[in-house]
Amino acid sequence: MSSGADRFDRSLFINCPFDPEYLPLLQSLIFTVLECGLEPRLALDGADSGEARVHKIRNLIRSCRFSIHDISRIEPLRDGDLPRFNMPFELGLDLGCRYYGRGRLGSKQSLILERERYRYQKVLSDISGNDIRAHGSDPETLMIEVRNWLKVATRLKLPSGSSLVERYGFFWVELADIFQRMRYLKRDIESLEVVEYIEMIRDWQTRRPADPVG
Amino acid sequence: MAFSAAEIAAIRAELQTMTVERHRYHVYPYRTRWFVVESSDPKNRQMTRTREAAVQKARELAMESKGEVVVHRKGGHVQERFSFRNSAK
Repeated sequence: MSSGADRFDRSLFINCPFDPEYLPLLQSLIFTVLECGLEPRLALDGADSGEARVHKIRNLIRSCRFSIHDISRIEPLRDGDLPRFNMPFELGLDLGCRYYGRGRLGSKQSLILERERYRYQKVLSDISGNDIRAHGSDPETLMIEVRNWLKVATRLKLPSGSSLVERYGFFWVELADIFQRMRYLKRDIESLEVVEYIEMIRDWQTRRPADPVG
Repeated sequence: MAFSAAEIAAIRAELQTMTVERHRYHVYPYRTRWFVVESSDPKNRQMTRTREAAVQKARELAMESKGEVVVHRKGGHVQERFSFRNSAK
């Protein structure tokens, strides 16, 4: 069983949208984090629905050394809606935790993901100086950017970018095979809960472990 | 649809125990190149400049071994797949 300190060093908080359009990016992000040997932690994965969301976020941020904040989709989803402030708010909480927190909290590291380079300068210029990378709404680019950042941040041996992309393809094909054998529809995969999806990747990894290369 | 706990458990059990399909040739893009790799031997991958060349290579390998070709789009998901498993050699 891992100690609290060990779990802190292996945990990564994901702050991102949960709308269906973002799902392919979220799936690739979770896969990358797991393949890099870290534990993805999301606000969705707690079982206690009675816990106030902000307390849940606070506890998650405090218990994760690493965090990834995707602020690429803070615009309103539909005409007439308001911008979505949750992601920038949680980013602020995380940076505050690092700046003002004591002890190990000072070692926290964050990656900020955007859709286009430098777009953040128009909407959130105060975050200049942090690690900010653009994924262009492309899952492969997101996987590579996250992998490369984690390589520096964790100093762990990680799978290469090409191996990561390749294994992501293997996982989807093998999951689709199972769904077909069990007579589910292809689109049923999309209705998996995030927690279920994480467990399934872990199950798959036990059978097909990654091969860290450097 | 939402899956029941029993359905999830069954899928997870399959993921843990299923055998890797042999002679399944994956074609996928990575950055500016296309790759062909066999499921059970991922260290042995071949690189091409175009999708067409990669699909052709995978097709030849799959025909020879009575295997299968899976072509991925950028981002991992499957674009098309075709099988030679039931074809006469």
